Amino acid sequence: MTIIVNLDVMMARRKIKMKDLASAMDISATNLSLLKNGHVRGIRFATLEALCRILECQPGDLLEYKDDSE
Amino acid sequence: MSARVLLLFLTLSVVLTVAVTMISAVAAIALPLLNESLLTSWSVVSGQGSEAVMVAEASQSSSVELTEGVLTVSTTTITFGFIRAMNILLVGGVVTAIIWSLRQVVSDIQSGRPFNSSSIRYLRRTGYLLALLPAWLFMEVFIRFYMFSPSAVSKADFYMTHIKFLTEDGAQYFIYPDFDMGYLVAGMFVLVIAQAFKVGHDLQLDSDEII
Repeated sequence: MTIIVNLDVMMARRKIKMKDLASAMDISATNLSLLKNGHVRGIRFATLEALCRILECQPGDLLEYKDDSE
Repeated sequence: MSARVLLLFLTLSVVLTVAVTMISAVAAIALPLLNESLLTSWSVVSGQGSEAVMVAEASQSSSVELTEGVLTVSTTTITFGFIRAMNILLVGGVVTAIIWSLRQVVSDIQSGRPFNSSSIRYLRRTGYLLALLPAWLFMEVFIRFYMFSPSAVSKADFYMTHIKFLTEDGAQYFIYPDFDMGYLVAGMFVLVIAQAFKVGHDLQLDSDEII
């Protein structure tokens, strides 16, 4: 996958636990774990907005594009 | 009608269909054993120059009677009882499978997640069985005639759409089996619904994998 989810990096920077973030976002820890590990097909704007609000960051801080050929 | 009521109705229908099928099959085998005649009949159309009068033909274990547009074969042979029982089990089994499949679909709908692979499978099965049922009922008339009627092979001509046969007095009669288009259309309709469920299933997967 060429879109890298840097959620774990932002969580470490903000020193927030998975359980607390999931609770603040009102989603299950399982779904958040899937998102963190890049095992999802997509992310809703509403979810991205909630992540940016709670982690006080920009979408670009959470998502990164990497060319497969590199 | 809510899914719950429909589920209950379909469950009862499955039980009833299985019971009627089993009882009918046992009766078809038991009647010849008890020296009771097994009757089978076909609607016939009289040909040009022939009249709908009673014509009788009898052998040791079976008799043929043609009266008022209905050809009736009465037999006490156990083989025919088994053949009749097999046909009852086949048709009853198909009807049971159709009702059971619909029951499973309704059960999935009641569970709140109808767009899954099992619903699609059951709907497809229902569609194919509904489409095949009239074809079997159509062919069954021919098969039954040639198996049950004594000397049918020598006296009857087979055509793809009908059977022509001659009585001993030389009169011509025709048997036209019915092909129920209603079942075929219903089957095709269910197959289209299965296709719609397939689209729903794909969308459900997409939705499940988007956080």
